[in-house]
Amino acid sequence: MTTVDHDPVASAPPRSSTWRWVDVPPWGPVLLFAAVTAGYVAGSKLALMLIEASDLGGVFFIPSGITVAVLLRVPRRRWWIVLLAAGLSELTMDLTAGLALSPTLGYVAANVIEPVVGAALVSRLVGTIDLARLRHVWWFMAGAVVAGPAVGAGVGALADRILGGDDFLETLWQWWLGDALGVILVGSAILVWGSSPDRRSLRSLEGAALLVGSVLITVAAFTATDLPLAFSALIGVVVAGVVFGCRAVALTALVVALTIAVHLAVDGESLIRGLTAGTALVLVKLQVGVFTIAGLVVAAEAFERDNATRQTAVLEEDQRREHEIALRLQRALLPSGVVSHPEVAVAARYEAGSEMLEVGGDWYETLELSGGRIGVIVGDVVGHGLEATAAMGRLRTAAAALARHTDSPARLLTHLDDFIGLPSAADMATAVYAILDPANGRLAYASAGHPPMLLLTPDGDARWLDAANSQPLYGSEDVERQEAVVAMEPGTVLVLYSDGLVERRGEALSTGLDRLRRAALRLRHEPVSAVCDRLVVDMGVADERDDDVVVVTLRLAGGTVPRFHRVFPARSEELHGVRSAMRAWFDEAGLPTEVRHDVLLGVGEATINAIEHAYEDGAEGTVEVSIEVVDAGWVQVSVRDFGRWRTASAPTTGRGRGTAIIEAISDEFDRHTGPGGTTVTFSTRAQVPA
Amino acid sequence: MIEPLAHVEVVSGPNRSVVTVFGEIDLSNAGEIGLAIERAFDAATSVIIDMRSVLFMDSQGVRMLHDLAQRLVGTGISLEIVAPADSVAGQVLRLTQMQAEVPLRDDLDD
Repeated sequence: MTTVDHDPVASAPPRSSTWRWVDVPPWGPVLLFAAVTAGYVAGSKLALMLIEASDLGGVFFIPSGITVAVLLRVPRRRWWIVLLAAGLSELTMDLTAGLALSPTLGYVAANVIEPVVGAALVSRLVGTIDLARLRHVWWFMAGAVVAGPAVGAGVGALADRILGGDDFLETLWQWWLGDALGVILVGSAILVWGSSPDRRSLRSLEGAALLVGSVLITVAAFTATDLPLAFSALIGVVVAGVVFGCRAVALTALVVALTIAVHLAVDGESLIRGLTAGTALVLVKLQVGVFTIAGLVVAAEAFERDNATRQTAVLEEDQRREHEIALRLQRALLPSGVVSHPEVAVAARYEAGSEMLEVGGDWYETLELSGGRIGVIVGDVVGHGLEATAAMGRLRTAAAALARHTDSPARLLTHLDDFIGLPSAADMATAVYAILDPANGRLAYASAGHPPMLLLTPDGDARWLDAANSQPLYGSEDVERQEAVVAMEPGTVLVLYSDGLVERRGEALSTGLDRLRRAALRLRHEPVSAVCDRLVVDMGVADERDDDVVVVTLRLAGGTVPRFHRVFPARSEELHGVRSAMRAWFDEAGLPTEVRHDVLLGVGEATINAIEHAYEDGAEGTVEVSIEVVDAGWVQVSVRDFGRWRTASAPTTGRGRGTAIIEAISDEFDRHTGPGGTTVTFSTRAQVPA
Repeated sequence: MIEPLAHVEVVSGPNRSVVTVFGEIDLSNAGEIGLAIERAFDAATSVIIDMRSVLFMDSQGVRMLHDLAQRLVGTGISLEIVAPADSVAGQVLRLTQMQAEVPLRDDLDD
């Protein structure tokens, strides 16, 4: 079986950890041998040259850095070639320099053991070394800089001592310092090229300025003053770490160190006045080493931070995208409308959460059931993201299918519980389901852990329907669920909602429920669509919402139908909005279709007359429209303006036509103009369902 | 974006252009809709305005159609309006005796 790995780290192309030619037989091994030999011999000669020129003793031992770095970059099965090259080079050079065989063998052993210890420790601890990584820098220091050279220095100094060397500890210390510095400077300068690239490339104007500037500052620091300013030569190393990366650090440090060494060779009496030459050199070497380490650490720190920032950005982008998809999915899964029923006005509203935090699984459905009954359900899948949205889609479909097969709200919830298939064991869902029979006002309902529905009578009674609550939907079977029945009088309003409407951070649920009860009571005479809209606003949902919100409102027709009343600016752009508001009220009042169009037309014509004649002098006026269903089944309309009709304005064709239309559609028509404005009233016969 | 209240679709044939009006026509947009319809006059000798998809129309719509009809007098271009009596536009047009000015049809192809 093939598994596809989407881990971005694992699937990234492996950084080349070996030099390619190493694996090309037979030239690979031969070339490796030749290169190490050349590097080792050249490095030794250079180091020796610098020592002899200044008469100060070792500066830094270049070959130690070469050997350990090459070991860390070639496969372990090739190590013997590297070590053979180093050992033979050391042997040959020592013997040709006139050393006796036994100390030579000791030095060879020291120079072979040292890189093996360092490289083995580092590759064991970090694998393929990447000097851009902070952890790698630390283990490189511990293994290749401290431990390896310490062992090498121990072996070397021991050999020296056995052969009559003077001071074991002094030899050990000088050997270690020279080799450690060699590893820090030369070793890292080689290793950085297989490491992650710098944030800013050295191959730039800034890069050139860094290197040239570092050389100049170094020369200035050592020639222009007597003060011990060696450290200031290393400012470039710190800058390289902060601005560029590990490659720049290693290269700058090497350039500075070589500059100091050349300065010593040329003019090397004493580095720092007041100190003996030896002490001054140790001081300078320690400064170079410490600053280089600091530079590498700073560079790695910045690299890691960059990485973390990038990963966070990727993660946030992923989350944002998932949120967006879930939101779109949720919109697609919500119903596009509500049932229409001659005796029940229904409206629903869904508000998505504005924060990325969660796409809730809020949902609703309204259903036409047998016998003229209406089913309405509101639910909330408590979970996050796409899975919650998908679960919500399953629940809605299941509820719609099941509702036609059961008359019991409790049983429907039980079936849903069976069906839910929650994304994780920690998740749950709540739902409340009600069946309304408009013929007799019987409302049967059951709730699975959902906040209680609110019932509002026309005369101002508010009542929570909390008599049939059972546990939320967990995907469990055989849960005992209650249901209850309540009688809805004509004109009663039922409000279903999700917890996003009432819950606020750091507030008791009862406070939110109280707020809902007060707000809903104020709105109980409004059209149901206005109740939904205004509840969302009045409950403060629009301002601060991190959860999504569903509100579904029903009103059983009958009782006193509220009057339509609206005051608006006398402008033609207002006409459409007024028509929309009237249409919503028609639903509410249950007005027959034929009358609806007549009323729309009559109000429109009367309003146009007001706009064109009452305020023709450009004054900004208002128009007031009221519509009422009066007792005898008449719809009484009045359209009033507060302007001054120009008596001189003869009826134009347009005006005549408008008035003719009002007369044609109405049974009674009257226009009265007084000092305060003009009122048009007309009435038409309506058969409002009882 | 706010949806426009109404929009117009023109299908131009060799002689005949059919203009279909969708949406609501009132004081706020009647002039605009009139201009949109007028553009179809250039290409054809016969223009049919299909008002069956109009959801609301008041006297301003009637005036707009009246103005269009007046403009065509003497041009040789014929104008007909599809607006059956039970349609929103058809009711208003009959209330205002528009059939005396422009033939009102129930269908596109009768």
